[in-house]
Amino acid sequence: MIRVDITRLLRVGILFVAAWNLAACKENPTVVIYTSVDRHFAEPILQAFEDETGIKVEALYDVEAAKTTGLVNKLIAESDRPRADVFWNGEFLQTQLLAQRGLLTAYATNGQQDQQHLWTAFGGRARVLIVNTTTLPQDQWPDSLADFLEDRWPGDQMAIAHPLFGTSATHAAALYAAWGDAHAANFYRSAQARGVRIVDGNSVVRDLAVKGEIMFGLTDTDDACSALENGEEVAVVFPDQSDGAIGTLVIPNTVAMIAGAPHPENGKQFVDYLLGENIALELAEAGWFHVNGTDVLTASCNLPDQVTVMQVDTAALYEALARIKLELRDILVR
Amino acid sequence: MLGNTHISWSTNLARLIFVVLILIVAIGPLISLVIDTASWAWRSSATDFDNIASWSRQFYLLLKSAGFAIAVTIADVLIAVFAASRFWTWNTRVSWTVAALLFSMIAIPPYIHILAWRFAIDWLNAQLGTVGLPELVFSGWGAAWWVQTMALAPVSTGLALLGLYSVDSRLFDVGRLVRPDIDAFRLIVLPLAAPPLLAASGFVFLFTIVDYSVPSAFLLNTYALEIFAEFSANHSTARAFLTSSPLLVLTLIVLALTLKFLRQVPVRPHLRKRSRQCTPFWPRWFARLQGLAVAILVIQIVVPIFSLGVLTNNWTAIEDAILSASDEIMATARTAALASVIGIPIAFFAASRMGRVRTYWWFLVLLPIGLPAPLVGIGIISLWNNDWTYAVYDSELILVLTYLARFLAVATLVMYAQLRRTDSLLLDAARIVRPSGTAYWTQIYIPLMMRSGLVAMILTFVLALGELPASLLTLPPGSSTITIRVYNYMHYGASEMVASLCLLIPLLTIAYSTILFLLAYGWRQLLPKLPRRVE
Repeated sequence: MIRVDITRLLRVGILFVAAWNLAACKENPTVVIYTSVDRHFAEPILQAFEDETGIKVEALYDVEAAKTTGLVNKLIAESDRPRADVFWNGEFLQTQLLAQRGLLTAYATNGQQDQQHLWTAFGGRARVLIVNTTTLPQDQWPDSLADFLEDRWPGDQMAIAHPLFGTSATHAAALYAAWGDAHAANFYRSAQARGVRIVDGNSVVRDLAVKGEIMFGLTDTDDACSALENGEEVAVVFPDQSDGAIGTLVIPNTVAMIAGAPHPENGKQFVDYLLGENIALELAEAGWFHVNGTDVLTASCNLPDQVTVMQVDTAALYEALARIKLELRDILVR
Repeated sequence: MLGNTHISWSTNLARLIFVVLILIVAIGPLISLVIDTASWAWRSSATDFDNIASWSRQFYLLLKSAGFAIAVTIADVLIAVFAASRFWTWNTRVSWTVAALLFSMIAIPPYIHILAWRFAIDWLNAQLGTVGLPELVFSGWGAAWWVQTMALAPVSTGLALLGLYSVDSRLFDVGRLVRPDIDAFRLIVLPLAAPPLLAASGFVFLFTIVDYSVPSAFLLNTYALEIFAEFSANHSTARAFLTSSPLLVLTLIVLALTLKFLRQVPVRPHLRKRSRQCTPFWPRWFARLQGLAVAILVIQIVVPIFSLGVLTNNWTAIEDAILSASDEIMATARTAALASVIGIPIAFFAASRMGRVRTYWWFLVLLPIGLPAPLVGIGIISLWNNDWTYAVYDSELILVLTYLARFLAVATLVMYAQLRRTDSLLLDAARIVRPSGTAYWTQIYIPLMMRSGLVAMILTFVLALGELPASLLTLPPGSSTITIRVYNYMHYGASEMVASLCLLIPLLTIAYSTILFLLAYGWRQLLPKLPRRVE
């Protein structure tokens, strides 16, 4: 009796696995896109590509809560047998990391590329100060990152996102390059010592400013401008724009082909589509991009037409990033 | 003779299948991580190990994290004991309804508890402001402790209820004849209900110590954040795994203590339903603490539902959320349900071997609880992303395997706690009459294990519904889960959609629990009835 049960069990198991395998057979043509761009902004673009080309898009989106341990680590873990065709990233250092590890393949485009044509940068988000206009009149608005250490504002009335993760980590690396290691480390050490809130993500900085729990904070344009567009009592300020100041960091999107991708031709078609002029405008209108080079793309965020951009050497930033993150971990995670 | 040999062969085959399943599903990701780490260590130079350990800082961080986890565990166990002892005296149906409601709240992700409690405190402060009272301060260690305690209170209370209902009420009644009710409860009921309570305290401690989201939201750094910082800095699974090793050691210690106590618990079966003729008389202090615990649990349920309800604002938002995330809702329900169904026989087998085989077996089965979830995800990718198993890796089944890798240990511990309370005399008696293999299982063993089996299934289902960090890594392209969708929306401030989807999560749990209870009821109805006793 038991033997019969086990045989049945095995049959059911084999049928079950076969059913899953059949279900796993995907129809062509397909392109697999991994993207760290917010789903809200990326999904309409992917849908439009699918409608226009007939190529089915299978997308994976990252979430802010994963603290950059998401898609990049997945791409690294899958490197022996890649599943993605294209990586569309909301910043550039993680893409550079994939390039350094040999996980990207060259594809020449007309856009701004790295030397080996492994990735293309386009559009951009800027690091900005979001100010609560109810608690802080315009004549008291901050205009520099150095203001986080000024006694004029109580420490707990300011916030930055954790500089170990996401675009805040990229910004921290850029500050280390611009200010020098000692100055930058001292900035974060002093900020923590005076009680500046070091919170989970840029959207948390935005929410704190919107609710008036802080006077101002450091975030990205997409987060800050979305609050302004929702009619919240906030203002958005580019920091360090005066003569001789370092400017603010502009973080472009990057797009890259994955080495050994299962659908390389469809992937290239998507890359070309994404780098088309219309897409950048669509993303700007949707509120994802606000800056392209030194030009400010949208008027809705009450920003000046031009921005002074912090000059960065991508390769040097990448080389220093891991060391800086560990140093910041030792300073901040206590 | 031939028959006996035959049964022995097939029994051994069944055992082998289960051992292989456990090795692949539960321990596989861990083995894969260990191999990757050993391979990395073999290839690395001394400089590659730089900055992995910063002893004094990490030790202090670990102590701080353990202190936080212990504080949450103590609070949750106290709430569980007092509240469950009150529910225990109520009508069974009412208390099971309460337990189902509590379980349905487990699936709400920690971030949503943070959102809900912040919203509720803001609302309360606004009310206090209108009458000129000072505002409540909700930040730092205290706020993190409260939110984490609230997020995990359903686990501990649900399991405590399971423990109390496993106690034969005649023993309590006998004790009440000679000692006050409170003494009978303390000296007889609590020790007998201890296995699920101990399992609950182990879960709460381990879930707390591996989670950084709630402490981090209230600016409290923990050791779990250290691991993520390391992973984010170097993107090296091996270095992250080495960084997490102190947590694994701590997990081993907690598991060893939990299991040691579990094994020491006196084994007595429950055979009769609890008599309800005589309600226990509790001392005033005890009754007040029971009332307080029940009130806290009511708050635990009401605050998220109230906050999410207010944030949802209208029915249209719920309709929109359901329509836009229908694929995710279906996929999550499907995979979580499948994980809970597949997990039960495996968990039962693992639990049944715990009492018989050496210690390393149950350490291996239970250790994945202490692994950081993203590392579990990476381990699963290493294990399944190859030519042989790509069809599984590229399908929704990989989500089922992810949920099993993360939560099979939970189901196993629940089943083990119940097995400790199953009367071996009953099973021996059943063997004497030599029923067929099927009858032995369907008419004797499964009904005996039904209650804990249902609890383990619901627990696996709700934990799977709320899983994020591992499934984010293993998810097949083109699909998503309800929790990932919630986090997608949360980033750009779509609070109406977030709240609507979060309200759906307890509803899914209640629907699934109802289906399971109906199936269990149907099963019982199909069983042969015992002849009525002739007086």
